[in-house]
Amino acid sequence: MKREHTQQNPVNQPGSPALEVLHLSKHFELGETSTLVLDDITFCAGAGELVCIIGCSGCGKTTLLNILAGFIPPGSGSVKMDGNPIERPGPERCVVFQEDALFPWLSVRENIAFGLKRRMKKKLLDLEVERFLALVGLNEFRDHLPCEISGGMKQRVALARVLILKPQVLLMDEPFVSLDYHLRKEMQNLLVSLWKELGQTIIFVTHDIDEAITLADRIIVMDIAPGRINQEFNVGLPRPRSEEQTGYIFFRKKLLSSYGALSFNPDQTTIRDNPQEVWGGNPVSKHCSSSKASGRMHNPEIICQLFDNQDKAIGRKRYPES
Amino acid sequence: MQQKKHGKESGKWSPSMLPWIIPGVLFGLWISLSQTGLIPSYLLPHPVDILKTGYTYIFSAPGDAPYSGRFLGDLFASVARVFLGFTLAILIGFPLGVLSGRLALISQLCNTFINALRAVPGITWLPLALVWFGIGMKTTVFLVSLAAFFPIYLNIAAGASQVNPRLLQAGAMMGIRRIRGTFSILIPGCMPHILTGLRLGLGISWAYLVLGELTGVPNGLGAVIMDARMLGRVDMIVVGMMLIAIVGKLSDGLLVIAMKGFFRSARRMV
Ligand SMILES: Nc1ncnc2c1ncn2[C@@H]1O[C@H](COP(=O)(O)OP(=O)(O)OP(=O)(O)O)[C@@H](O)[C@H]1O
Ligand SMILES: [Mg+2]
Repeated sequence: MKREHTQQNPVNQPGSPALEVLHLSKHFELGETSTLVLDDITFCAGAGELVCIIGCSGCGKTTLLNILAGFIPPGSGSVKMDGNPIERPGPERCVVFQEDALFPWLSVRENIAFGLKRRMKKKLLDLEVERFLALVGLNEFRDHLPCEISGGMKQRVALARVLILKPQVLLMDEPFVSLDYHLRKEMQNLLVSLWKELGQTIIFVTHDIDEAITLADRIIVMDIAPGRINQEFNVGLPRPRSEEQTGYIFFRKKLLSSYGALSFNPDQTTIRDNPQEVWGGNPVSKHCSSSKASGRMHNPEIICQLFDNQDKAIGRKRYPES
Repeated sequence: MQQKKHGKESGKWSPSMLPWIIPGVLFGLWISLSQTGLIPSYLLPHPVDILKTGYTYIFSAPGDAPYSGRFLGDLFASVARVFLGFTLAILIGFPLGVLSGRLALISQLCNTFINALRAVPGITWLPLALVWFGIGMKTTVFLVSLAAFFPIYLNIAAGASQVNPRLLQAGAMMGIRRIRGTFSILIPGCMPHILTGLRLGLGISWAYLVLGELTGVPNGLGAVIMDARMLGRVDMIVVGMMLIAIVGKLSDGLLVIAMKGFFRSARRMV
């Protein structure tokens, strides 16, 4: 029952959009009041693209993933996968939740096997579970219950139980937050190597700028509430990425100042009023940008020259007068 | 320092002793009160008399003494009534509880009615039940299932509505459909509530068993108590009460063991 993955090396193919979000807005009604959580979000993720979303706490990242997963309906606008509207959750779009969502009555092994149970011969399933247990390094803990393992181990189980399903789209909500530095690096490498092998489309939410630069084809920076897309960066650095790469520091600085301006200097409106000026970027077109084509350079010098053209900033002001 | 204290505690009071302390102290008080002769034995018989009566009731051959040889028949009759009534309560309360916990429509439809019904004391159903079902098995089973229904329904509905929505979403995203999700996620997910509901229901079953048997059925542990009251055999009344306590406790233990045997989730989460 393994899903066939036709793309042998999806990383090098400019994919057609696998996920398409057009003018998505979402309100939450709480009693009398209605709060706008997502405001006119438009972006695409090409097939096999790894998109990181960063944004401050409360800007609506989880809400966005909930909509993409089909758990909650979009307010207005549309979300599509392969051209079809997303209406309900399904095994082709799997989520690694931000919080613990393992089944507390199942052992680590049973949790990982859950989605494939009754869809595969028991022997094959056992082998597959073994493989993923080993991949996330939890062989010793196979028979432990979720309440008997640490937070970081739970996150790895949560990762394994969806990776084993080989979904076309992976929605990951800060999956590595409670891992220590080395384990986090290891998991990032694991993710990237599996991604290279299987070519899923990945939407990866994180707070960690380094993580975003290490992983992403493209980074989307979300504004503080109500959530909007503030900027997009194409990260054209060759993989495997490391902090010593020429371009790395460059991206880090850029992201820090844009993300930092959002989270730490809420009064400093001058930067945000005209992001175009600051970044020298072009307004993001409301169509899907075929961002992947340009992102595959293996010569750092060329990459550096290209940075400014690749960066895309939304020309919209943060506080529109209305 | 803490460790030392802990070691001392577990050394002196082994956990298996703790449950017996309160009954032991009460029993001691009872013996000493009876020994002083302050309380006449027609109000509270001496423990030794109670033990003798109990022994006769349980072990003596029929015809040796009043009540001798009846025990097994009474026990069987009562257990059968409780079993039937409790099973009926589960059959109705469990699915209805799950449905009303998950579907707003069902809970809005049922909850007001069920809560109003719940406010009616069980004992007021007795006259009506007697008219409907006559004296005996049916009335008792009706009363037992009616009483056991409420805790089962309410606890399971609460459990089903509080089950972590992320677990259900996780199932849905893994391609688990509704029916399978109900059995492989929802029910295990609210297993602690289910067990609480069943245990409360079984406990109250024994209370209503006695109510149902007080109406003049020929056999059953409650019937024995009623019979003894008419003959002024306080010792036999106390024996009946104690037996119900013991059988009730045993049935609770059996229920927990059975649930843990059948359900992995009960084994691992309760
Ligand atoms: N079910 C809900 N009902 C009402 N408001 C909600 C609901 N879910 C989320 N919100 C609101 O939406 C906003 C965004 O929440 P969300 O969980 O998407 O943030 P986030 O970006 O994931 O934050 P974090 O990084 O802290 O996880 C918050 O202000 C939150 O209060
Ligand atoms: Mg979140």
